[in-house]
Amino acid sequence: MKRHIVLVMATRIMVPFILIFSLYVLAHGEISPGGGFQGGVIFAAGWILYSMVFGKEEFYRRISRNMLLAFTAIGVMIYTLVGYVSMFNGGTYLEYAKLPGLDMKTGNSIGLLLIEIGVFITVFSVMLLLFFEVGKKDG
Amino acid sequence: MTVIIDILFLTFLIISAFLSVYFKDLLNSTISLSAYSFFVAVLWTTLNAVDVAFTEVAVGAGVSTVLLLAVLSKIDRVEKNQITKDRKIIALTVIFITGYLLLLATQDMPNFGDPGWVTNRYLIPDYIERTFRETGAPNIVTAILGSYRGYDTNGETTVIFIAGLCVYMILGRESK
Repeated sequence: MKRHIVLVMATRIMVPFILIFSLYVLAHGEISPGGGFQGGVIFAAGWILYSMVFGKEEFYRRISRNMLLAFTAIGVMIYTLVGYVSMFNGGTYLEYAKLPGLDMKTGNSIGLLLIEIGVFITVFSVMLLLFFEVGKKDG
Repeated sequence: MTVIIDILFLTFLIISAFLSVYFKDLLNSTISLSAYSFFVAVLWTTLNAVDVAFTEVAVGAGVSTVLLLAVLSKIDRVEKNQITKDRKIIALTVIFITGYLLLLATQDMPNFGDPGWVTNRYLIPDYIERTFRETGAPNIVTAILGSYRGYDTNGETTVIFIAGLCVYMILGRESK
């Protein structure tokens, strides 16, 4: 695609804000509407816009394809690890209050944030993977 | 005032749903579906379901539109008309029967905000009372998703992971 100056400049200005907003949605999921899933989708949307304008190769220079594949698994791993850590620390699976070094209140807060980060990583990498694999030109 | 907004956006909703089926050019259909998601999200907001509205906008109007566009870049954009007349009659019959059944089902649904309805009597007040004390999260939806229904969310994340993996295995095999 021929690169229009307006398209390139608008994308350069917008993408950082979209990415920051997605992190805000993730971090404030406990307080305001949002959470890991919505944040992950917005994060993916920002990168999709970026790679639609600058090309897929430009994105793969930052996060390689194998890296993206690994991210899909890392998110699930973070989520499940939180569950197992609380289990081996004397609680049940995903009992946030039993996370090491944390009490009832902070444990729930940190535990929720950790699993939201797991959901975030899986969702954004799967969305990007879907977009790149479906929209591939040669396959 | 709310009634006017509801009627307005429900009308837009029906129009965009109809147009997405009506258009022969699939690009137009995709854009109509995106508009449909947006109107649904506005209606969720008027029902105070902000979390659902947020997800609807991000997924329905945003990413799924882009994914459909990515599919459209690979296939023919114009829909071919291969439907015969007797098939149309069958489809119309099925639609009317399903619509009648749905109308029957709505008669059992509670009025909006009915305080005597069973979930409003004990379940929702119970969550509103307990959530902040037990989890410390002001957003009840996130608390239920992550804390009370943590196993479900774990399963959902695994489903998304497996879905992505399957697409990668089917579509991304040869090219390196």
